[in-house]
Amino acid sequence: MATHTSIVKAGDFILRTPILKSIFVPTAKFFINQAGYRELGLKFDDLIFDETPVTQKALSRLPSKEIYARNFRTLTAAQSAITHHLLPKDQWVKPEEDTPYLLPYLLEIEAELAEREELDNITVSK
Amino acid sequence: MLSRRLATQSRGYATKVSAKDFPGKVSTLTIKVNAGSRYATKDGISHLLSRFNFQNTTARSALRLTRESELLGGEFSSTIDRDSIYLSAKFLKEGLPYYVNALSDVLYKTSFKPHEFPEVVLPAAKYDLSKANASPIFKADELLHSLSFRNGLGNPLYYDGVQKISLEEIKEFANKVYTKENIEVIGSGINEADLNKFISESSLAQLPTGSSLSSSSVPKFYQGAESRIRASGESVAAIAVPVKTEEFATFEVFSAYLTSALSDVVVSDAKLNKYSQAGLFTLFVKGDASQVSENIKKVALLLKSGVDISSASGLASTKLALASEASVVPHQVDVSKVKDFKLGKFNYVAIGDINNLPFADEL
Amino acid sequence: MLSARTSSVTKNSVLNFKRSIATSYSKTQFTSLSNGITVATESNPAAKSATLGLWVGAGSTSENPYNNGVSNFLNNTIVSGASKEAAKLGLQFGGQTAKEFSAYYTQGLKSSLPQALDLLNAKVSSLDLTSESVLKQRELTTKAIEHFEENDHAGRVLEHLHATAFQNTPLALPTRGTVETVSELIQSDLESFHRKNFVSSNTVVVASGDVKHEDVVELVEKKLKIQTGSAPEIAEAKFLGSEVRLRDDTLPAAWVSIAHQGEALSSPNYYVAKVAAQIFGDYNYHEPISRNLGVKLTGVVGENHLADTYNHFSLSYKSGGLWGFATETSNVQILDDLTHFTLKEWNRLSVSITETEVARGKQLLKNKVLFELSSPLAVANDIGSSVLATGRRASADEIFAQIDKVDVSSIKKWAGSRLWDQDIAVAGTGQIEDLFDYMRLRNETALLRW
Repeated sequence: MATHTSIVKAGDFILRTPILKSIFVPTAKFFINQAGYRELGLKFDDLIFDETPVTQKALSRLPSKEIYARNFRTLTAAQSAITHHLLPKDQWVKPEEDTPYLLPYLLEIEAELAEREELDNITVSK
Repeated sequence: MLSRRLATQSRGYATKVSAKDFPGKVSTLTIKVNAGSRYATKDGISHLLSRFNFQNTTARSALRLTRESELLGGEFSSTIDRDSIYLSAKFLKEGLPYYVNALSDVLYKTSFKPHEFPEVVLPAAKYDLSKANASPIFKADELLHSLSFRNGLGNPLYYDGVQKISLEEIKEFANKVYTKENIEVIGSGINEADLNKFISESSLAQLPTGSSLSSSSVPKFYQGAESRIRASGESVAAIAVPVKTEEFATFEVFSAYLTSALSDVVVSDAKLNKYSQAGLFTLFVKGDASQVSENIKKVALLLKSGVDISSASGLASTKLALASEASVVPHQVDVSKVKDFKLGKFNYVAIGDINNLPFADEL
Repeated sequence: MLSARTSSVTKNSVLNFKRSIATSYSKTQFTSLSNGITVATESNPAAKSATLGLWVGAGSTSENPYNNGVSNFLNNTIVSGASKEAAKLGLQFGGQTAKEFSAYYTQGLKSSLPQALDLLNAKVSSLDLTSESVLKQRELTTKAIEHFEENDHAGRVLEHLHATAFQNTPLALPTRGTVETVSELIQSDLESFHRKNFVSSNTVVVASGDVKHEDVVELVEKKLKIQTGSAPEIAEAKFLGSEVRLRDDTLPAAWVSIAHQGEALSSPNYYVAKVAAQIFGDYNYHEPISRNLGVKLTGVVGENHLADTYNHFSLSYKSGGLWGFATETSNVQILDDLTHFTLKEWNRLSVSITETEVARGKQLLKNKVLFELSSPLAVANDIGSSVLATGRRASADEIFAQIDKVDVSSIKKWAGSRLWDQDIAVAGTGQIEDLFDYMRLRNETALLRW
């Protein structure tokens, strides 16, 4: 399964390679607009599947301000969804507001797990 | 003093280092930091800092440190008393370079990651406190320190959450106490030249300079105070006397006398806590309230009338020799001239079934 | 008197030092005197105190069900009787009773060694009891036993584990005795036990710390008078798979111990069993380091809080041993998971233990062997107990060499014969409703497929 770490690595490679960048970045922007989550008041990191130990741990480590803001966005989006309305345009999440607030925590936890995996499987050379 | 300065400057770091080489396969390396509870900027901050030791550093994670150390054959510990935080490593002799490096990194490179505080440090600190508080003698001891010194040496040893402490405050405290002048490196079973060499190559040599916090003035003594706490479990009655350093010998002999078969009174424990610039003699009687009441009255009667304790000076020197084998920084006390003892003013604590424990004025 | 044989064991370095760090070697020196007494000393130039004592091969295994507790009772009586005189001489007098030996020792400065030996001779070697002190100590001893039974649940479980695993053999008797047996003992019981067991071939004089071997030998020759004679025979211990449950739901937790038959002190597999126990080691849920240990079992125990603490042991005696673990848990409803995962991990010793786990266990055992000898008293106890049990004491280098010989195949071979599909002894107290019945636990000692 792709980990957040591997996705970020692939993303970095795309951004470093001009030809790939020129193809993928506009496509990504197109898809984000099509997905429409910003129109419900959500950020991309709100969409990350959260029923995993890694995401749960990351959420537990979020500063309290971030976790309140996240819960507020989730509630707003749920309300919008059940009433079949989009938010008024001025309340849409702007591209510059769509920050990866959860990703650094996910990467840190994945790094911890990877280190544990590595140390659980070291061999001792004589 | 001047010659020390010169010597340390030529060595490139101003940290006091001492080491003794012994036969055998084991070495112990201790970094003593003047950061015990008496120097706490907030109650319990020393304890929290001590529990942060051996967590993640920028050089290696706590997990890696544990796993590497297991395979190299060593163990770490971080303990506190009222004077100091002691970071120790006990290891097989050939591991010296690794352990100097690992201990130094704790002082210089601890990451203080925000999630470690609630996930690791706070639960561990809570555990220490609950384990200690299970003993009524510990509770009495804390109270007696508080009555006898109020601030400084009277600060609580462990973090109890009464004063909230943030991660930022712990970091600030670490920056204040982990400085070249405020720490001392003590090795046993280690060649001093080797130790100096490895230290100069380690991050200890890069620690910021600061000033030693080690207190140089005698703290103020408070006497004649009493405190009583209701609690379930065994009852304790305890007496404490703050002691000047020049009286250490008398109280050492006196403790030896009281805890040995030489005296006819029953005490659960009696000891002299030696700190820099002052000490606190404590005496505890533990058990059923009625028994405790009877025994503490007998003890007080004996002490107030004065006792010849010269017979215990030999035993006291034996006990001091045993203690100095076990401690990192042994205190030297000459007990040969001690003759007798009479109790003057004291502080008194009763814990447990206090309706059946005597008041100080009834002793 | 003659010193018949003087031998010394020198420790040689077998390690390749990464850097040259000055080190020297300490020695355990032995002298056997013609009257059968062995004098064993280890001097430590760093020590400031000297420990001198008599280690006698008379613990609870030398007792029978009718005088059970007599060695402990005798020990308490002698120690309390000698303490005041010792204190006047500047000596601290102490004692200890174990399953296979009891110890009487003084701690003091080197200059007081002659007085210390005089005292040991007067109080231990030739018994000097008063009926008054015997009665007083009987009361104190039974109180102490009562206190142990009521408060030290982990210790009690371990005693019951021995009692069931070695039932009807001497190792089954509790070290301290029981309130019932001790309160029936009288002065003549102490004296006859002393007469039978405190004899020259059953005694080792041990000194450690700031001492010189020749001085101690000379003192012993001059001053110590012990009846010559040989020690009474002790029946062999026999392991029997069985269980004892002392369920008590008023206690706040569950204490359980499960063990297989282990190795005797003289067994060639002694160190294999010790390494195997270290592979799983000790655990404390509340200590942060427990999350980082290189032990697979701690992962599942920690994530689900299956136990508060556990420790694995390989206990060895002259003619038997126990290999297993003891645990305390406040999470009593998942005690079944705890025993399941633990026994499944033990299965791995027979089939899939890795090089790294074994290397780690070996290193931790080396630490343990050395770190435990941190005071002259600890050293003296080690010398006394090992000389009594095996007639000698291995040097640190010998022990290291033995540990180095252990590898994955020897662990697998040993576990295959001792643990895999073998009987177990189970003891528990506290809230143990969820401790599986014997057959379910017994079935966990093997896997159907792997």
